[in-house]
Order: sequence, then C-alpha cells, then structure tokens
Amino acid sequence: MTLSTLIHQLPLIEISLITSIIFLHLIRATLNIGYGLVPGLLLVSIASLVLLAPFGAIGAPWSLPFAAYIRGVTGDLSILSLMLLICTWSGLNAFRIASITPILITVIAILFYPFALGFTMFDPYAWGYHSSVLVGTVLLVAAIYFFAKHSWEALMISITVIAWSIHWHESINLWDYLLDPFLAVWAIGLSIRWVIWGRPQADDANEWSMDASLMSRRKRGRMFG
Amino acid sequence: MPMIRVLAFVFLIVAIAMAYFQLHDHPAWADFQVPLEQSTTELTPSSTSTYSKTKPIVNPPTLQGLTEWLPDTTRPSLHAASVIPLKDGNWRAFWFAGSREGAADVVILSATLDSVIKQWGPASVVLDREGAQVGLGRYIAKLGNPVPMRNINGQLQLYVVAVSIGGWAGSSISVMHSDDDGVTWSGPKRLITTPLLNLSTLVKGSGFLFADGTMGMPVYHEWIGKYGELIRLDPTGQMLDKRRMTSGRGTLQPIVFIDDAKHASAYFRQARRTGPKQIPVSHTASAGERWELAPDLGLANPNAAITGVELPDRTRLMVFNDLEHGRHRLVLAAAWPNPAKADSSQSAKSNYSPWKTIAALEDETASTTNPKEEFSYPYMSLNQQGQVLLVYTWNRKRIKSILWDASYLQSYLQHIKSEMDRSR
Repeated sequence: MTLSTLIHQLPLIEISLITSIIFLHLIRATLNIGYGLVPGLLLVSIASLVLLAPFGAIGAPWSLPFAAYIRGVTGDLSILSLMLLICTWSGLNAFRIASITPILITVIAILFYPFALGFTMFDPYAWGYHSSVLVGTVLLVAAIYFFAKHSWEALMISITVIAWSIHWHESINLWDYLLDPFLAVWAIGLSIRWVIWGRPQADDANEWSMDASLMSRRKRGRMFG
Repeated sequence: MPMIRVLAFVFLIVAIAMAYFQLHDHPAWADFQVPLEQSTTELTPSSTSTYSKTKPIVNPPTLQGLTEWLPDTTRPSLHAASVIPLKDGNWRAFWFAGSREGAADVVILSATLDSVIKQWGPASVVLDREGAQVGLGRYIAKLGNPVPMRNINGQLQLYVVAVSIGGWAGSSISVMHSDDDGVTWSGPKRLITTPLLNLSTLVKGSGFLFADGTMGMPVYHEWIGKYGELIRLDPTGQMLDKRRMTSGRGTLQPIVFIDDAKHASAYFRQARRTGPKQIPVSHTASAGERWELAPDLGLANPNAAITGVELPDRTRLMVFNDLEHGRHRLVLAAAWPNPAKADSSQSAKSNYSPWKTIAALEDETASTTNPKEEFSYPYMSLNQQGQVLLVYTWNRKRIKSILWDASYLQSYLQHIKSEMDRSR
C-alpha cells in the first residue's frame, strides 16, 4: 500500500474505528460484560478490519467495504464527536465533561441548524469558512474552559481547531469539525436528562469503578463506555 | 490532574497559532471579473461557408440556427445537458443518461461538437457510479446534473451532483478536473457545503470568475429549504466560501448575470407552493457577498429550469418555458443594455430593457397526441467567436442542440431592437 493510497483510505479507517467503538460499546452495554483496555483495543481493531475488508474483491455481492456504506450515510463525524466517543469509550476515570457542555452544545445546535438550513437569509454556516470572529469565539470558549479548570473541553476544542486548520476532513468549514447532527442529538438528550433528573455525582464513580453496566455509567454521567 | 492541564494549555497555544495562519492565508472576498466590452463589428461569423443548413439573411431576418441532436446512446432516459467551448474551437457537452432518472446505471456522458463539420461526435462516459464510489470513498446511489467550468488557468472542471441516500434532496456536489479539455478526467472530490450530513446541494447554472481568479458557482438546496446560494471556489475547485442568495422554499437553480465589478442579478426557477409563477430575482451590490431579494421578473415560470448568456455587446439572452404549467413551450428572450442609464451605481433592473421574447424554439401547445411534451433543462454557452450554443432535454428521450452564429444572431437581435425602438 503506497502512502497516497493510505492517505486516501484514512477517512474510511477513521469511520471504521469509530463505528467499531460504538458497536462494541452497545454490545458491552447490552450483554453487560466488561473487558479491559487492551482486549478492547484488540476487538476494535478486528471489527475495523472487518468493516474495511474489500469483500467485493472476493466475490461478495456488494462492491464496497462496509465502512464506505456507513460513510455514504453519515459523512465524516465532527472531531468533537470523535474525541468524546474515544474518551468515554476508553474508560478513563479522569474523563468527565462539565455540566454546562451538553447544554452549550444543545443551545448552539438549536440556534444553528434552522438558520444554516435556509430558514432566513442569515447563514451562520458561512462563518465557518474563514470568519475570524467565529474562530476567535471558539478559541475564547476553549480558554474559558481552561481557566475554569475544565481542561478536557479546552483540549478537545483546541484539537478540533487544529484539525480544521490542517483540513483533516473533506470539509474546510469549522462548523463541520465542531458539530454534527449526532452530537447535537446526544447533547439534547443528555441536557434534557440532566435538567429534569439532575446530573449524577462524580463520586459515584468510586462505587462502580470499571463496571461495564450501562446503568452504572449513566449514574456517573456518561453516555458511552 | 496537572498532566491534562499541561496538555490542554499546549494544544490551546498551538490551536491559536494554527488558526491565525489559516485565517491569514484565506483570500479576501474579490470583485467580479467583468468581460471587456467588445464592439459588435469585431465579431466574425465563423466559417459561414460551411453553414449549409441555414438560409441566407433575408429581410426581415429570421433567427437562423443549426439544430442537431446529441448522440443517442440507447439509454432510454437522459437529462440535464450542459456545454462549454473548447480551446480548439469545438464545443463539449455533458449530460446524464440511464434506464431512468435516478437509476443506479445513470452515467455522465460527454460528446464534442465539431465546429467545422457542425456535427456531434460519439458519446463517451466521463463518470459512472462505480468510478464515483472509488473516487469519493463512499457508497454512491446515483449521479445527476453535470456543469462544466473553466478555471483561470484554462483547466476544464466538471461539477457533478452525486447522491448517497434518498432522492435529489440527498445530493452533494463533487468536482473533477481535466487537463486535456475533457478527454481524460481526475477522480471526483466532494465539496462540503451544508452542515447536516452535507445533504442537498445541487448545481445547474454556469459559474463565473472573480477578479482574483477564484470562481463563483450558483448552487441550490432542495430539501428542507429550496433556495439559492453562491459558492466561491479556488482555482482547483476547493471550497472557499458561500453566500445565501435567497431563503425559504420557493427558488431553485439560479443563473447569474454580472453587471459590473460589484453588481449582479440572479434569476431562479420558481418552486413556490403559492404565489406568482414567475421568475424570482435576487440582486447583489457587493460582488456576491450579500444578496437581496428583488421583485419578480414578470416572466412566467412553471417550476422549470432557465438558462442565460450575455453576448459580447452585453445584450442578454435567456431561454425558458414561458408558461405557468407544463414545459411544452420553450422560448428565447432578449434584454438590451440601456445606454442612457448605463451607470455602475445603478442596479441591473434599471440598466436593461425589459425582457422580450424573440423566438419560440419549441411550441407544442396545440399537440393533442402527446400532452406530456416536455422541453426542459436548457443550458446555453457562448464562445469567443460570439457563437451561442443551446442544449435542452427533448421529451426526456434526446438532447437537442441549437447553434447560433454571431452574425445571424446579431442581425436578428438588431432587427428586433429597431422594431421595438420604432414602436415606442
């Protein structure tokens, strides 16, 4: 495999890894089984290879790897989604987002999508191409998170801006690196739950440790892993 | 946890620096590139001796054009033809064809019109679904509208609609390049133009150049909203920016007429549920950076595509179905610049005469044998000799082309204009 072929395949590799992570998490949560990080990485690698395998070349009736079909529907996920998924799945005990984060994403998504999809002549999506005000605001939010001692968000937003500046994905629009519909749905669901039932306390985590049960993770305020 | 704070701080500083460089490198918005005005007398009729299918000019002149059919490829359904002049003086057309519109076997075809023998050559496949899937690294369900564009360096580019899920609402635009004027093509590359899974951006109207060599392409959305947008691309076809031309659910398939460096008008196919069935209009006075809705053009439109070109003497031509329902009549209309008010501070509205229908290209109103006669999706282009080539879908079965030579077109337009002036 040449370097250019590998670079061309990177988006498919990325979507395979993320799909595997979500898929394995759902299995783990449904069957209520637990495993450590190393077996988890092994399972994700195997699942990703299955998603990337060129079955069409060995006579399967479909011509593309599964990952290409998934990418056809979802496109590339936002960098923020990717990092949230990876951080929660990896089960880092230190990883805990601020209570305000899903609410902030919810408010932005609810304000953003109707206008970005043609509700009026006002188009916030156009800012994402090169608006210094938008980029400045995003970096300011990252700085506020940092000084408010929420380093995870500061780190994730910074990596998002770096990924945008090197055009890691097909899009050159900053919004596509910050937000996607799946992240918006997740944030809206989590915000509603936290606002109505309150957010679980962080110290619950001590009781549950690396338990795989979905309920325990929900109590710790995590959607995944 | 100090480690994560150190990491966050380092990445934040790196992000600020990289964002600065990214913003710094982005080109500022530029003015439109305005073609230099040519005198009509400079136009040379191209090889009129071979123009055997036309009659000599008689008084009063009639609109003489060379009517041809694009090559038949035995694919039963075809649509959305477009054309561009080539460097060798010939023309190249693109269209899609397959067992039906939206079928998996639809391919993007291309053929050239020889400017000497005035005949279309054989069709060749530019892109099929499998080629699109490999190039785009994802599942592609179907292909649609191809629109060619020549960049500032003379490279031919083709903007193509591709759909992964759903109907045309699920479209996105991909771009291909050709360094040999359309003989061979690069793999397609996707443009990301909307935030919701990149759903629903299509292309139909022709693009134009900005003064800095970047390109403008009028596009449209056809899902939750039906509205026009202007995307700005760098010479390689990479997205730079976009601006909304309209909003809501009533406008599709914009075409753009440029008045001067700052002013332009966009005309749309109307797709309103209620309201006048007329061609909607949007204006810009900031080289496309901001657009404002303007009153309708006063020309009927049955929710069907329109096309237009501006001739070297700045006379504008437009082809459309001048009906409120159906597509069984296709007409050519003209608007002339008004020299008395030719002032760059004026908007196009006041700079041009009202549109006047100058010829009916197809008119099957009286047909009772086939009530579904359809002449649709016109696309017109102009070459350096002043020839105008029109292509359109003929009953979804064939693509028809009409070539007008500059001299015939000019004499006919002058005749119509002098008649109009006399009647005033």
